[in-house]
Amino acid sequence: VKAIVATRPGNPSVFEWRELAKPEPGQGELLVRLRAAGLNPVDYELRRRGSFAPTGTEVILGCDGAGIVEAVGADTTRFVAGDEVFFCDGGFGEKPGNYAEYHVIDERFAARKPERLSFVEAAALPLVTITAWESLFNLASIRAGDFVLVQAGAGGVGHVAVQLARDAGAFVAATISTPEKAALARELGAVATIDYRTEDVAAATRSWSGRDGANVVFDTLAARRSARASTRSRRTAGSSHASNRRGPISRAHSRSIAICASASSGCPRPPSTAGRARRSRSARSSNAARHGSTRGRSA
Amino acid sequence: VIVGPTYPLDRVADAHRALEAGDVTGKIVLEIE
Repeated sequence: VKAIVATRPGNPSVFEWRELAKPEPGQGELLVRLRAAGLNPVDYELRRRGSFAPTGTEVILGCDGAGIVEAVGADTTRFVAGDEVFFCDGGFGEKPGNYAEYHVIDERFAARKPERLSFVEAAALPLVTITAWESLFNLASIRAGDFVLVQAGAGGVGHVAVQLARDAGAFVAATISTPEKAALARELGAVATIDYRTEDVAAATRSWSGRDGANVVFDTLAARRSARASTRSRRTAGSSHASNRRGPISRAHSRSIAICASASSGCPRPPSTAGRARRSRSARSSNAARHGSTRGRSA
Repeated sequence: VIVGPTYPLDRVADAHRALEAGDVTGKIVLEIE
């Protein structure tokens, strides 16, 4: 079977075709005939810097995939041949990724592809959605009425975070860099946009929220400038979260562990239950009064 | 999720160049025949 391998760290010219033996599914595994593979920035970071594979090893990149189950291993219970699936699995060097014709995956990490989604659409979803979901709900515990600032709100992860936060009932502001991206962020649910090239993000956030900053800042850029702005934009009791693109993301995701990096002081603790309750009574009620409900809009 | 340009698997290098350039709106996806 054919696969594209990164032969060594470097520029895109390091990719080469390889003919490899067709993999076989082991116990509890699926052999998937891939139809699409989604690209993420971590792909080119791994290509440039090298993956988690031993030095000198050729790697198949790409953690997002979608395809059709061709065969199942012993003791599989959730899928049969012919099922359409999508997943985030492999591609960081420890396990082959999805720039290939076939992929073997533990059935516990695969999801059934909804009929309304094409393979391309399904392959675009996993990593960005996992990143946004874990950050917003598992780490930041956002709730209706929160003010949420999404850095790069029209970006790959950001535009998903905008929609998830909006659907959770939060008031969402997004940083953007062009009028087109501002329009997109608003279309997806942001009630405010901030041009980080021309505006002071922290000041604009505080002006928008009408209080002392956002409850939650979602920042996957984790760049020095955005991190500084994120820290200044959040409330003292709030949280600032970012995905850490240099960390062992595949291993963490396989265990449903979210990766979190604060701009200033490590992974912040979520507000205490008591603090959260106080915030709910005061800030959220006033938020709703000033901004109205954000629910009921389509994605 | 907003899907941007798609590329065949054998053009993965071009797909990486487009992703790194950052001038693409939407997710880049490889289509595998």
